[in-house]
Amino acid sequence: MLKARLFDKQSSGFDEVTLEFCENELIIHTQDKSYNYAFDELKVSERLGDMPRSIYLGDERVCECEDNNSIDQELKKRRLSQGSRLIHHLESKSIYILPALVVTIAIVFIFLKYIVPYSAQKIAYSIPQDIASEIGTGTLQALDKVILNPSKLSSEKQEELRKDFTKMASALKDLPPLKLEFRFSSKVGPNAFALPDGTIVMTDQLVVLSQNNEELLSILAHEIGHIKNRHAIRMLFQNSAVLVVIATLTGDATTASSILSALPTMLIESSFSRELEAEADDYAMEVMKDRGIALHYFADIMTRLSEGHEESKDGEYFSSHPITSSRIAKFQE
Amino acid sequence: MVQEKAHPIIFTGNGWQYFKIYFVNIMLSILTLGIYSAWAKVRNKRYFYGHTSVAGSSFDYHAQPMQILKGRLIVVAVLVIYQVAVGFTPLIAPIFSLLLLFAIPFLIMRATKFNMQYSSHRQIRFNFLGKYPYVFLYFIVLPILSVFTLGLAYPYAIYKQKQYLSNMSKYGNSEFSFGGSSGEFFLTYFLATVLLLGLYALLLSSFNLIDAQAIQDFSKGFKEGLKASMEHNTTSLYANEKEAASSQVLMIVAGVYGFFIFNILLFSAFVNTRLTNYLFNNLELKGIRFSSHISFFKLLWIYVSNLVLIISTLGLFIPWAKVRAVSYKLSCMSIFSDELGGFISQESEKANVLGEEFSDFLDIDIGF
Repeated sequence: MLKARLFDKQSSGFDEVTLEFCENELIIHTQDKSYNYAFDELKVSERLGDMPRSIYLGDERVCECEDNNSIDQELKKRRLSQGSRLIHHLESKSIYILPALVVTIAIVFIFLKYIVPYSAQKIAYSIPQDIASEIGTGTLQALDKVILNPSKLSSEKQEELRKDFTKMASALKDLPPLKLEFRFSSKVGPNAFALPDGTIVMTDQLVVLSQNNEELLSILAHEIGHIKNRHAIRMLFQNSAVLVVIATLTGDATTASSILSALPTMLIESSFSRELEAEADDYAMEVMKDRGIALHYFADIMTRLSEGHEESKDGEYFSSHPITSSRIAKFQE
Repeated sequence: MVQEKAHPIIFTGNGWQYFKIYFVNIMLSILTLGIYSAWAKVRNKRYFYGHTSVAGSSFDYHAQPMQILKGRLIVVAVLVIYQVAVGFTPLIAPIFSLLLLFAIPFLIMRATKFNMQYSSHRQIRFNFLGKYPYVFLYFIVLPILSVFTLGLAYPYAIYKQKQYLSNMSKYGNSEFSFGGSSGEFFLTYFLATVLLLGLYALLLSSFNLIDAQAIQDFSKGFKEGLKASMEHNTTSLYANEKEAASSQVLMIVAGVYGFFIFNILLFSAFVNTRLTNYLFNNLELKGIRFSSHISFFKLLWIYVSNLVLIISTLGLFIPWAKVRAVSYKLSCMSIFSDELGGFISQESEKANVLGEEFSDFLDIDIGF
């Protein structure tokens, strides 16, 4: 005999009743009456934690009973449907949780680490170039407002470098029209970066740091590698895919979980960009070989760049990342 | 007159139990490529409803996962069509935003109705009878108008929203009514603003006391952080520098973010506490009164410690955090009545899931 509450669904009042499970039917005893229900008329709500079970009696009436275990036993004995037992089984046994966590984390990791970059690459290459170029428009204007200033290089030097650049670029295939821009920036220091529309920005400081044009051309070749392999677009897709994954996982994205989402994103992104750098390096190497530029030029300027950084900023960050040196080694042969 | 009885609201959920449910939900959602998420949503909601009880009876949530799945698929389809359309003709974006302005009240209305209609206590369903023109007035027109008063009239907009949501809600065939006035809303937002300004003043003066350099470092760190995030959109020459720069500024940026997040938590905990208490203390349902005495400091402590624990456990604490917050809030609430058995149910029409799913996606927060 199980204690339960009987509701008639018409009002919020109820009767305290006892449930009796018989061979073929459920008998509900109130204080002065009893009702019989065949089992196939009944529908029992799914078990979830300790919440009371609702037994829908088919005639608009409902029984609520808190003794989940007894109900499950009685239903099992009669081979009656108990709703989805499997899910409750998974949810209630602590022993399944660790494997579930491991599987979850493994799937998310594989997805972010392999599937997302792979599909980002496929998507990036399937986008027609003119649409791809659109994505980068406005970036340079935005950078000009915030961290970049007009170049202080003489127009002769700029022209000379542009000529060399155009000569190298014209021999390359499958690229958007390339453009070289010079900017002065005390904040960025010696640096160069590529925008998806084919614009490459080089800072004055980098030109000053270089000892000859070959060094600068090797860096430009590296930047063309970024454009050629559509790295900016791949990163864009990568980032949005990561966001979608996190939103799916947390379901209701609260403030807390959105801050949290930044952490794994950053971890995975840094390795993603390392792979991209390697790809751009490989491309640069090919171009340099084709153009007859000795590989050591790239190694030279990269060495000087990393030395400059060690002097000016805390070197410890670099010593813990020996990546630059391994990149340089590839070009030293 | 019959003696009024106090019925505390009792929450019996616990963190470990919910943790298991939460992660099984996530795992199955991933394994089914998101299809299970509709079932997960129902189980999540049912867990909190089913473990909340008043006068010996718990609440229940009756939405069918299939309905929710269909709703989600439609939402995803609309968003994909929108994305593609904007890709081809960017001009659609502002038109869409304008349309959204008119759609939001509709979505709020539908979502509230859906949630209420599928919620029950003692097998009696709740309901919401809001009408579009009023929802549009209180949720779109008033907030926009309050911009012209430099936000001074904003508390009034919130007051009208809460009042309308409450007064249009029903339990069975009985109506809720909110008897509060707008004064408390103005006071709450005024005090919250004073609190924030005081905090800023304290922060600035403590900078002066410790080290004037700190302010410069602070603003420099902020700019560097901005720079780092700008460079994110371009492919920089060497990843190394980016990594170094980001770890260098990470601490400072984390500090700045942390401060802003603390402010948001402080503001929302303060406003939330006062308005929830006020709303419940002035709510009535056919002779039933409600009471709520949430403490601002306790709630703030729960929010802040939850956040710290969530970050330091990489999210594993999320289920506990949810249970903790809900459990504390509900423990401060009770219901006063002489009789809970006299509510009559009402024939209800079918509610549409679409509003609910769109609102979910757009993160529209409907506080009741």
